[in-house]
Amino acid sequence: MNIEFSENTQGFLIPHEDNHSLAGHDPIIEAEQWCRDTPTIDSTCVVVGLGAGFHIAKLVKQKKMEKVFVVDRRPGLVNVFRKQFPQLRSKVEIIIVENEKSLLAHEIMNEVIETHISALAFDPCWHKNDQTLKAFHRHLSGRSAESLSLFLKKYGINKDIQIKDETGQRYLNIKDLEILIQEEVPAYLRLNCFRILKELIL
Amino acid sequence: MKILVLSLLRAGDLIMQRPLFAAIKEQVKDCELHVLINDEVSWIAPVLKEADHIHIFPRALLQKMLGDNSYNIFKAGLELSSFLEKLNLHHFDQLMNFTHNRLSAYLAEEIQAPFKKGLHTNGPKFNGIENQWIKIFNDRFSGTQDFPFHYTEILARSFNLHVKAPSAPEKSKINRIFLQVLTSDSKKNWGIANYQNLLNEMYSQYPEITFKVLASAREVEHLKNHFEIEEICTWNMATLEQELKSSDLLVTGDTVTMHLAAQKSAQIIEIALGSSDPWKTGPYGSGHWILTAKADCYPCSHSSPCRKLSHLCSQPITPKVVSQLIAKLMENSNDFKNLTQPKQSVQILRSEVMNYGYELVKVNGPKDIRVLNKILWQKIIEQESDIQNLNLQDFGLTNESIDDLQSELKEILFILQMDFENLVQKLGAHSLTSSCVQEVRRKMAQLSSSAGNREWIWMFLDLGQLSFTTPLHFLSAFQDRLELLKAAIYYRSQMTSQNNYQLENSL
Repeated sequence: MNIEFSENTQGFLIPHEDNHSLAGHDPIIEAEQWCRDTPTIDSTCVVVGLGAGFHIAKLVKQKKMEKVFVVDRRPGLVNVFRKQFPQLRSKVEIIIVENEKSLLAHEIMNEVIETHISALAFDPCWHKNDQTLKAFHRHLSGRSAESLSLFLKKYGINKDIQIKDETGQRYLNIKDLEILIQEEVPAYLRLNCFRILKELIL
Repeated sequence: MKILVLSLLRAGDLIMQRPLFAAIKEQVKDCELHVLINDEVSWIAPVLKEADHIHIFPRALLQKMLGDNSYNIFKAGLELSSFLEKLNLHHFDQLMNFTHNRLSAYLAEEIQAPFKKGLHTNGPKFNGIENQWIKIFNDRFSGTQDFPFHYTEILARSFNLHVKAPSAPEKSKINRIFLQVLTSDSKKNWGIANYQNLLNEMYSQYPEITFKVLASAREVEHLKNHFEIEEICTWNMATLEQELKSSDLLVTGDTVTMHLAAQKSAQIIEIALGSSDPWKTGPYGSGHWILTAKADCYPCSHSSPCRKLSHLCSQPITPKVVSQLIAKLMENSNDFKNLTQPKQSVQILRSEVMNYGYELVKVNGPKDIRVLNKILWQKIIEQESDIQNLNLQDFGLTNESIDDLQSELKEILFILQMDFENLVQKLGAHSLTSSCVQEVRRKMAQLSSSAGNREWIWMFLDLGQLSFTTPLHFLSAFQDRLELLKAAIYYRSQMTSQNNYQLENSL
């Protein structure tokens, strides 16, 4: 993971990975647009992808975030982000993990299991880490079989989850969850919420 | 008594339900009325004054949480649980489901109330549809076939509520004319150019009248390309309700504004297009005017867009026809003869609320056969025997045509009874299978296709098209239809004084 930086016309440091820019032509506009499209979220969230970090700065300011966990696998991005946005030190925690196994064992998984915070994807900066960072995003949003196992443990259900997913990259949804719950929980205890939610799926 | 009404529908439906809310308040002593509505229509809440509390169901938010992978997979479930938990803190005494879809039925199960009316589940079982009116409402309201009841009255009958129709507009001088140019569905729009032409014509004819184009804030950008900005009026619902008077005339499609205006007894001309069927969802009250055009595809299905190359149901209704109708209203004239002649394909209807309910009266035409059907339903379901016989000539019917239909119904009854007995025998011999049912269904589908769209035949044969979980379910529905058919023949012959037919197994 060879990360280099160059100064853009506005005087900001922009990271490049193998000569590929990790930010748009105008990183501020890119960040504004991403923030605008970001769903309503709580005051704490996880963002997958650090990139040049403008989107993080914008998110904290615009959505009045109290805490943002940023998950990435490229340690070379951290120092420049800290230098470029020193005011975000107390609100932004950067977590660098090499692979999925490390992420699933990381403390951040406990945090998302306990609080169900949203996991936002900043995929313009994923570049050649696309597969891994997408997998991170699926785990952090509870939409992978592995992370779902961890979530269900919280509800007292211990099971290795087998999901029909030929690509291994599918985001799980409420229908998958309902099937799992139905297999595990006696009928009289089934959560009727699931069938209500299924009616709402567009 | 705390009553919660589930009303997870569109804004227009909510406005049409207001007389029911008022009826609940009047019929139930010390009633505290709560109404649950969707977040997408929360803007309508200020006019739902009959409700003591409005609760907002976070439908759009839940849909977003389910569809957007940024949200934790459990988030929507937690949000829903938390919403239901808060709602249940109110400890409702009674729940009424005015919505009648699966979502509302499931929600009704989760909301605690000792007494529930309308569709609700209990585990896998659907309850609350035993009432004949609710059955008719569920089976027939959403189809495109003729249906003789207005939404407000069929819902009121389903819940045994006695609604009062708003008073008819006073015959006062018209001071302001409002044009509601856009509807929520493009196939219901008459077209901006038509409204522009109408407006231009009226400016020259009535310089003393104030004209305004009603629009929501988000429609203004679009409409200001076609109308002067001073002509466009963006009142919110509360202001609109406050402003509308009997001396106002509203020209509109099937819109929430129209339903609100009807309740304020403003004068209305509805241009009913696309899927708008004014018998079902026209302006509820007496003295309003409805324009429809004869087109094979009208009224079309609510859920699909117009697939015709041109908007066939709107073309015959020209600005000239509308301006001529306005002129008659301005003159307080009852002479509509000349108005309909140049455009025979346009129908001018006037709404009336009679002792038997809502009807649309054709100007210069016979009474609509739907009135006959409406009274017949009331006789069958309520078993009312004191409704006077009707004069067939009023409906443009002859004794011969009634006899023909009666014979046709009797023939169908004969065929169906044979099939039914055959199926019952098979049930007794434990040989009733899906293929036996299929055979009968095929036969019914054939009979149905020859019956065309004639309601009183079609309604007994629709089993050929409906799906059933088991042969036993089919048999039960079959039996219901047979009883209905017998009752229909019996009451038809009574109502129309055709007493020459005596049903052997009469009720």
